[in-house]
This record gives sequence, C-alpha cells and structure tokens, in this order.
Amino acid sequence: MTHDPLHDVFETLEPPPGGLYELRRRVRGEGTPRRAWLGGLAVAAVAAALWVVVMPPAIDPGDTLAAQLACGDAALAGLLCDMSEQGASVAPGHQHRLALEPVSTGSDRVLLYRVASNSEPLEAGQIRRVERSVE
Amino acid sequence: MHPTPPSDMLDHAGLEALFQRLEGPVYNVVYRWLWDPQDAREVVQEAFLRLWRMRDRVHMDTVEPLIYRIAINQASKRLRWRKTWRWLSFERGGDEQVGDDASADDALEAEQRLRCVRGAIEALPEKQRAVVMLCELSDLSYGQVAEALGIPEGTVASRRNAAMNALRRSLGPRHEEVL
Repeated sequence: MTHDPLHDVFETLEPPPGGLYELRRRVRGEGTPRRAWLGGLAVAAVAAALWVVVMPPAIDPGDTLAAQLACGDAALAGLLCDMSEQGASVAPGHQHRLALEPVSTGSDRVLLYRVASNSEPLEAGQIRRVERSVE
Repeated sequence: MHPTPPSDMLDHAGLEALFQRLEGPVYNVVYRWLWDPQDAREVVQEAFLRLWRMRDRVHMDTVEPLIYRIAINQASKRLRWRKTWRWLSFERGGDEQVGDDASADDALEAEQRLRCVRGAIEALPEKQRAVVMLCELSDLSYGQVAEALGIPEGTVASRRNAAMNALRRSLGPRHEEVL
C-alpha cells in the first residue's frame, strides 16, 4: 500500500476546545476597557480645563536669590498662600522687608522658600516656616 | 429603537457563526507557522478579535480571505518575535523528550514523522507556504487565496505547484524511511 507523503503535511488537526467561549469573553471585554479609557480621558480633559481656569498661574521662582516684598503686600500674600499647606502669615500693618530664596525640593507640588526679614534676620542655612493669615 | 444592521455587516451572531465555521481551518493554517497548539489558538483568537474591531469596514462577502490574511500576518509576526526572543535569550528549542512507557516507540515514530513534515514545510519560502496551506487547508477558491495574499490568481497556481513539488521532493524518500 502506497503512503502519500503529503497526507501528513495536510492532516487536519482539531483546535484546542473552548475557542468560542474564549472569543465571546474577549469580545464582551472589548468594550469595557475602551469605554473606561475614554471615560478616563474625558475626566482628565475636564480636570485639565478646570486647572487652567481655576488655578492661579504657577509661581516661577526663577533663579534669582531673592524677591524683595513688603509684608502685607497683596502680591506677597498671594505668593505665600501657595507656598505651604499651612500657608503664610502676614500680620496686617507689618511692613518688614523680606528676602525670599527658593529652595529646591525635588517636587513640583512643594514650594519651599528660605525667608529672611529685616526684623528677624535668619542665620545662614536656616529655613523658616511661614504661617498663613491672609485675611 | 436600534436600527437593524445591514445584512452585509458583521454583528455578534455573524462573528460567532464565522468563528464556528472557520476556527478549524484558520487554526490548521497558522499551526503550520507556529507548531504550538496554544500559540496557534491565541493567533486565531487575536485574528477574530481584530476582525471584530474593524467590523465597520468589513463586508461579509470578503470576510473569509480577510480573516486568513489577518491570521497569517499575526502568525508571521509572532514567529519573528519568537525567533528574536530565542536569539536574545539563547534559548534552545525543539528538544522535546519522549516518554519512556509502552508507547514510546509509537511516540518516537510520531515525533520523527512530525519533524520531517515540519522540516519540509519550514523549508518552503513563506510565500509558497502561505499559498499551499491556504489551498489545501481552507475552503478558499484560488480567487479568494489571491485576495487573501494580495497576489494575482495565476501566481497562486504557480506557487502552489512549486510548493507541492518541493514537499514531495523533500518528504518522498526520507518520509518513507520513517514510515
């Protein structure tokens, strides 16, 4: 009996079972991540728009050593408000001269300044927390 | 109320019917690229999933060549990735052990036969392999094979003949010895 050498080449194999079930599962799951992804994108877009509209412009500390500002000055109050979680305390009526030096923290979300005033001069290297009282 | 999709568009029922009809043939074709049941199964799944994702652009009258085209592309891609990975990781392949039981002789014979077949198929240029596998393992006509591979119909016939001759040449004597 002659064996056709091509018989084995084109022998029909059965695929592993469960293919249709697996395809159904994947097709069902297909919509979910995409919808979630689109939803996430929409939320991110709204948040970005809100950020631009609501948040004040970012403070650019620049590379200058100090900004000379008077206590009680509205610009200083606005600046100090964003400086720390506790914010900045500027007693009404005080007119001290301040020197602000930005200190690198390695984070965009944390601004740290070395502060010195003509009433309480700081020692070199000393960092002072500034309490908030913007009212 | 949802509008009824046109009859020539792919919907859930159409996809499942298509899968039930073509899973086997597509699996058999891609298996001849990958030689691994799980990899071949995965490629079949991926091909149908890709078809589903592009269902808005799919016409039912051309869907069969399309699914084979997607599957062969995916199998080739996976094969290239596997070769690259093996090269990078210095992994050795093809050293499957044969069990030491009563059917060891049968298993060894089957293993040798498979190696011969695999060697003969892998020795074919990929273009010939695609043609001959589609012609022999799918229900596609020459015209549909040509459409699936993006080649003229006359080329299908010539490549098929060349591939069959090459297979006969490489399998003939050596294959008989194994049997």
